[in-house]
Amino acid sequence: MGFLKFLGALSPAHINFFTLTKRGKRVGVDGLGNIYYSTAPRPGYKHDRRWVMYKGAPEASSVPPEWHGWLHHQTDRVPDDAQNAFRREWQKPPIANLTGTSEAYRPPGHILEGGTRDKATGDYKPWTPPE
Amino acid sequence: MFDQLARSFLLTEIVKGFSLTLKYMFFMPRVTINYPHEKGPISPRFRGEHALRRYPNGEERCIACKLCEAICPALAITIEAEPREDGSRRTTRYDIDMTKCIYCGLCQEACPVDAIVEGPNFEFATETREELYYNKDKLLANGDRWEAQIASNLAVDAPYR
Repeated sequence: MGFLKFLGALSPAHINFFTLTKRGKRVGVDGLGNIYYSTAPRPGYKHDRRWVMYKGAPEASSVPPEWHGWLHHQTDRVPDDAQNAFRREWQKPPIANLTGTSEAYRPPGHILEGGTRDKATGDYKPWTPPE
Repeated sequence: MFDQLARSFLLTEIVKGFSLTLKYMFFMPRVTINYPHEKGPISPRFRGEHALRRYPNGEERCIACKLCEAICPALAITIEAEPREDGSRRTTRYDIDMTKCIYCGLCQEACPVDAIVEGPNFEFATETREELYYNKDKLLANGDRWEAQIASNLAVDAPYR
């Protein structure tokens, strides 16, 4: 089963091969178990090459916000919980895009959320057709 | 006449085309990336999914001034406001219709308290349209999830504003 996984049942074989052959430096692991690598720039590129090996199925939106910036080359700072000055205690844990599941976001007024919407508060005047 | 005949028999156009293909296959820098694993570079100013932010003490920033609603060129934002129990002016409804939004970023430019921002997330595609009618709870939850990166991007961009 592990061999099948390596061959790309869950993850494209190319990126596994690449992780082995390009000698990616293991940069860190996030809270979900995704492992982050980086290596030297490709020919013709200025920025170094960064990639992530997902735990489980490759789901692009499961990269947590702390690592999202690093993976997208927004910052070179490798996220570290101890050093992250922007972490607040009211922050919520990251979740992947839940569309297509029963936990997906639905606006109030959706038939599965009760089907009743808040009344408008008289912020506007309804239009009535002229006589 | 002879020129055209020679070209069609010697297949020079096909050879030319394939030589370009081979050049890009073997001799030019690659331009493709392995998307779910490797992602393209984006700017700290990237305008993605909207989020409502909070102050560091957990108080929501939005003061219901409705500047974002007024400036929105796509009329995607709907705000209703009334004073809260403690007397401070807050929104009771803050809806963004993400199917109308054109991601111009004028709402975050207009906001006097940095409450509405366009975060770095662009992987919020949905299967149905109704999931894109965001309300205040959803926007605040986005802010609570993405605050670390939003704040670090704003800090990076601050010297240029």
